[in-house]
Amino acid sequence: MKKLLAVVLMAVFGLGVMGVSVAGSYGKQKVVYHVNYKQEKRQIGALRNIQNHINAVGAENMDLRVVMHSGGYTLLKRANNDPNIQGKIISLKKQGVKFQICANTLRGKKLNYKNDLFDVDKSDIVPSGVAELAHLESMGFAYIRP
Amino acid sequence: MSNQKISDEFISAFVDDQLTSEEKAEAYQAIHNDSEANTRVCDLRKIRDLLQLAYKTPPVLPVCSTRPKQKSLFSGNIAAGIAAGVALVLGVSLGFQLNSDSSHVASAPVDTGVRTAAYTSDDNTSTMVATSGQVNILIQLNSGDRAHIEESLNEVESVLNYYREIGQSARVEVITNGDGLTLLRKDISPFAERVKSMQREYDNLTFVACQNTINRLNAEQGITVQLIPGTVVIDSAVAQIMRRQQQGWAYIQV
Repeated sequence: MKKLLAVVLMAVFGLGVMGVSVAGSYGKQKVVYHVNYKQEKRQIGALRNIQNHINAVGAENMDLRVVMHSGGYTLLKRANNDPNIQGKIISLKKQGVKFQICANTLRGKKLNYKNDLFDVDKSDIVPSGVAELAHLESMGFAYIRP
Repeated sequence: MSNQKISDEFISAFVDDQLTSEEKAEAYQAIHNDSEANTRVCDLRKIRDLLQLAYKTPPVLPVCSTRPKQKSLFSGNIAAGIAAGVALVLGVSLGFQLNSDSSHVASAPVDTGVRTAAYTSDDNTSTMVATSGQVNILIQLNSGDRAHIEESLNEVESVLNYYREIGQSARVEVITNGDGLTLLRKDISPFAERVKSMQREYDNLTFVACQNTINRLNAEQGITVQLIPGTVVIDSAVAQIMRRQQQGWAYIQV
């Protein structure tokens, strides 16, 4: 009886480890994408990279941020008038991607985040883009600058 | 300076990064010309790094040792239902941990002695206050474009001001390689005065130049690079980026 119990438990133990580890080959990921450049092509490329990244890992397994500062703010400016970029951002947000913008940049470029940029909430504004990146990296986020 | 005998206090202050940028630049020159002092710096650095390693290692160990421990527990008392029960609980939690915290497990090997200790002899910069409240940022600049450099300096300044405002202790290292070295070249830098005033303003800011780039400019274009005083020279920017990340620094490209 004891032996049977042990065998059953061993089987469950094995399945427990296996079952969890095969779900999503990459496991959970925390990633921050850094956009501080203003070239449109490169920004659209970054959005594409992020979507491909989600496709590979699964939105439910990811905590994904985009930190924009310096020339990177133009991504959200373009999104106001460009339906293609706007659509991509809406779609990424639906998959849980957080877009964060630097307060220093808003001040420096004299931007009104409600009118000049696409869909920015007060909670999306971080005091310093660079400090936010450093903070996220220290929390275990992988840093990618496409 | 280079003709004088260098005191232990000076070397100790150098290794602990307590010198001003002018003193630092002098120290590099002096140590470069004095092999005995150079050996002392290396020895002191080794001790410092070993100490840091000793503090760094323990939190990592439990992650590494989880698996073998369970194996022996499991095979040793296979008949006992209780042990199997414990193994089940541990196994499932291990499974979850492996799954949810894979980045942590993956990063563990980085902290083994071999790789970290390997850089001690040629790590030419001197930093490291690894207290938990400290923020360390390595900012890489590899563009020589004037507007780009200016924007980058603005970013460096604003993050330093931000940390100053909130009272956060921080260190920022701006590392230049490739075309980015332009910023620190005395003769052609578009912002030499600004670099100097930033050095004066922020004692937690260091400008770093890559020796490989300096050598390459010399070999390919016959240029003898002259750097703005206070600039720190390291062997290789790429190697430095890896070292700093292994030491827990945040890495940001501008």
